[in-house]
Amino acid sequence: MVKTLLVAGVALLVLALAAACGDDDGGGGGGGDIQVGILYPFTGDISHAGAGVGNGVTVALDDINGAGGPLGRQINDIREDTRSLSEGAIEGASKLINVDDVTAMMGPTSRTIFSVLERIQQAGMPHVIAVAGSGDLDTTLGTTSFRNFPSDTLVGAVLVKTAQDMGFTEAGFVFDLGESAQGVKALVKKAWEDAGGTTTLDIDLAVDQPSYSSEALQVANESPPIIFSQMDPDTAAGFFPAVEAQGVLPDITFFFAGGADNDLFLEAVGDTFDEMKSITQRPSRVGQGKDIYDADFARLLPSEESGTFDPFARDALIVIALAIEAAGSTDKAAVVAAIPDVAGPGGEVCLTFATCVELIRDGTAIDFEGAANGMNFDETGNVTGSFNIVEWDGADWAIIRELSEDDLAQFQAQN
Amino acid sequence: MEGFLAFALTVATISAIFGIVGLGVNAQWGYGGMLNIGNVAGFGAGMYTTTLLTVGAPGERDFYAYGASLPLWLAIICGGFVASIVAAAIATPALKAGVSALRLGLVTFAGAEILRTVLAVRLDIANGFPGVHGVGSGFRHWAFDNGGQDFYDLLIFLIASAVFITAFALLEIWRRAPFGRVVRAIREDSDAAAMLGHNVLKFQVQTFAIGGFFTGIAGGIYVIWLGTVTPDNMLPAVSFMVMIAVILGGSGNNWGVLFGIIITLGLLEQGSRFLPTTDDIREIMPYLRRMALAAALILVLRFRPQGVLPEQRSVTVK
Amino acid sequence: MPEFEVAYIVFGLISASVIAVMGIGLTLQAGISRFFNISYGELVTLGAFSTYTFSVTWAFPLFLAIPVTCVVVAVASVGLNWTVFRPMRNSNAWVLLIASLGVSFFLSNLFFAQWGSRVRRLDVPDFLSDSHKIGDVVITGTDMMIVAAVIIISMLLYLMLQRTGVGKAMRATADDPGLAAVTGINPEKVSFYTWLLAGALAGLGGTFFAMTGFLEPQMGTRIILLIGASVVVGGVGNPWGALAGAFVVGMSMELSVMFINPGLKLAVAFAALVIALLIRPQGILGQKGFL
Repeated sequence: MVKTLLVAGVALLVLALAAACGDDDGGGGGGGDIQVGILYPFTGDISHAGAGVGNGVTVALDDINGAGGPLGRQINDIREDTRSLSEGAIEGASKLINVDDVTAMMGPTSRTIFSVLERIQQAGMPHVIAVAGSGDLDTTLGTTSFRNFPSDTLVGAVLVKTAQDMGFTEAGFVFDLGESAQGVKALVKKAWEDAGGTTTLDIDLAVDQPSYSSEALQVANESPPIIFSQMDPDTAAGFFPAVEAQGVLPDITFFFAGGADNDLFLEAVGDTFDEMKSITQRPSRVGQGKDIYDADFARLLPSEESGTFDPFARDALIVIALAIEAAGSTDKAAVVAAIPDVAGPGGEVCLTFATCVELIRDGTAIDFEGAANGMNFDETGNVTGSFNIVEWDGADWAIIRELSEDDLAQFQAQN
Repeated sequence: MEGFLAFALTVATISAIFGIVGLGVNAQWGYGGMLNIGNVAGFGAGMYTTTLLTVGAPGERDFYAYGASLPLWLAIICGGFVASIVAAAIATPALKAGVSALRLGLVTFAGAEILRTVLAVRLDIANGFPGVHGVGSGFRHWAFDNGGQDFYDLLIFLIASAVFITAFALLEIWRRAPFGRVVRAIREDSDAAAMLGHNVLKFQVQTFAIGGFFTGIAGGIYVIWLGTVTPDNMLPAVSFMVMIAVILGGSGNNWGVLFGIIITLGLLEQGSRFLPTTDDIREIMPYLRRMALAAALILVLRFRPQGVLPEQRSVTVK
Repeated sequence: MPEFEVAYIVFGLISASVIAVMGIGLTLQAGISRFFNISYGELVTLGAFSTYTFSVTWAFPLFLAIPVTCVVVAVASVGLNWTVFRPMRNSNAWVLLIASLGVSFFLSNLFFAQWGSRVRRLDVPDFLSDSHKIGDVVITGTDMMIVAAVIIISMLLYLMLQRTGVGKAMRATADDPGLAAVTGINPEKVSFYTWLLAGALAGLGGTFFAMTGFLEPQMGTRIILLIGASVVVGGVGNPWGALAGAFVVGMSMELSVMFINPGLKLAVAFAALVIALLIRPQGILGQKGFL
């Protein structure tokens, strides 16, 4: 009996906490803080994505709330966890929409976005998906959702066109077995073969393995001139040193679809990275925004490394905050309408919330440019822009060629 | 408060769907003593079957080979049967070899992982990792047009709970029927049951298939609610979640399954979303939530090791 | 399709060795405690991060950091048993398994909150990170060290189990706890030494695992599946079974690469395990009717 009471006690305690906090958090429509929902996989097998987003949000909030916040109100981030699963994503989205009554939302990733996208759209929620590359989002964003992460379709076209322009006709494919890498792989491979390229090596890397020596040996045996690739830092940390041990690393140029152009990846691969020929894409027009971001990151999160996702999350939250300021209220429809306005193009270019918000208050039209890219959306809600192709020169990424929007459109139309 | 009700409805729907999975697992594990750590194999088989039977022919951006455009209800039932075949096919060789419960657990786990990996790397089955989207979109948009998200959630909740109640009733009847009694006798002492002339393997495989059928039906309802299927819906974490609920609630008792699901998916999981936070710990809050949940789980097991509602053992006449 | 090369067998052996160090610890502990401890993976993570803290953050020499780590994780392992599992020792194996899953959740999230998602690497001395060409096979010094370590650990373990009082008591308790208790073996003492030894091996295994790749807070949660599978296939409670199970897992993973997409490596390993179990249902070196 005592035991039953104890169990009941634990359950009641949780329930009481639930009720108590439910009352405190409810309602974002008053004059207090503005609630923004951050729905990401903070725990579970892709928790590194959530951790990266969390870092970006931290940097953005320092900028936003430090400058007084939109409409003079602070932004309060409500971080809900998808647990890397669809069920967690639905629960989190439902709580943010119904219980917290948030003004805007960010997230989640490609894995769970389709479980909650229609739910978020039905709520008319201003929604910026910071980190989801899925090509299936190209046409499904609707009128309330935006994506500032480049689509896998676009990245595929960029990589394949670059490889062709550089005169390569044979390529290998090495991607890790996660949904983001596999999503982009399917589209890169399709674009490569549609454009007439031949594939001599195609291996997927299972994650969480004790060793990648066998895969490295296969790469060494085939030694294709270029390898299209994308993998998480942890898989890369195991794979590339194994390829280096096989002695073929200098003969191969790696074309990274994404995920390589950041400190987290460089640190994970370590010294091996300097031995590699690596090429990747990077949206052009990021110079100053990226510098500001890196300085903020180093100041606020000295023990962390910046990764693939955090600059996108930072840009997304700032654009939401600017849209609220420009809309003049937390009315969802008004905020949605303001997002493309503050993102640009057209208007005076600005790089941080603090500078942008001053311009808005002066009545100037603005064009917010982010740390990760130029943050301009097309009519489908996808981010647009031109790309730089960059190569690692042992100390930094050097621009080796440029691809304009027109180049890409022409290439995509041809194939 | 209205908003909280809408949230509670979402949670209730998830609980009802995973409750059906839990009932299926309880038939296998609670009654049959056969550990199915890979219960997500049947769940996933139901999801994928329903998907491929309801979606239309593949579009320009699709890699999958075939879509049958069948009505939803028919696809869900077919999903149940396919799931039952998949679950039985994974377990039968191991049951035949007479492995222990832990090893049967490993075999089912391995089977589910193999299925998930193959679905993930083969684009031509169901688009691989990116998955298939827009499952049941006709029904969903009809519901959206006639009452919005809450109406749609309510419909799915009613369907899922109706199936849950039906499954509950059928499994209770089955438990009391001679068939169910033999299955429990096999769990207690399979040698004795065999000596009484029962075909142990046949009963075990049938139990596995029955449990698999319900997990498949749950998968069908779930995939239509989500509107999308990816291999990540079959991660081991999903299997673990169901096993935790069943063992915590009380193996061998269908009411225990219901309580287990309500406690884990409902009270603990959602309650942890409402834990108070401050700016100091905001960034690590998601991890603290999981830790609180884990601590609560360990405490419940510590003080109620037989589950919150243990199986009612039939009284032996002395 | 790549042709057969001896290298794949060598790589299989290396993978098996990494798994085996941890598998031996897990199986000894499962044999004595009579349940399957999923949170053992978190002790592996703790081992890797402890070595990192001592050797990188506090700049101890690596070969001093490793024994210190073994002590740290051994103590943590005993502490875990005392706080969580010993009070529940009368529950059945399934409740303990789920409880250990809870401990695993708790610790892995604690580690995540503590160390974040950064991927770290150990600073390995040059003589270990350099690759050597032996015949046609290229392997690193670390690989050689791990294989050598498994051989040494196996020999020491054999001597301990056969010659020392504690070792004999462990074997007796794993075979039949009731009988062992009747013959005057103190089960508390046996349990204490087993958890201590299992912890030390988790610390060592975690360090090896980190040396072949990287560190991140979920590394143990991820590798526990492979370790657990090899232990179950080998026969729970039998350290030589853990070696055999690790061999099946490691070899099937690396050899399969010749025939199919390496992305299916883990699926192949699991398929090999299932086949092994169908041939020997009690595990390769297991006793009938145990777990």
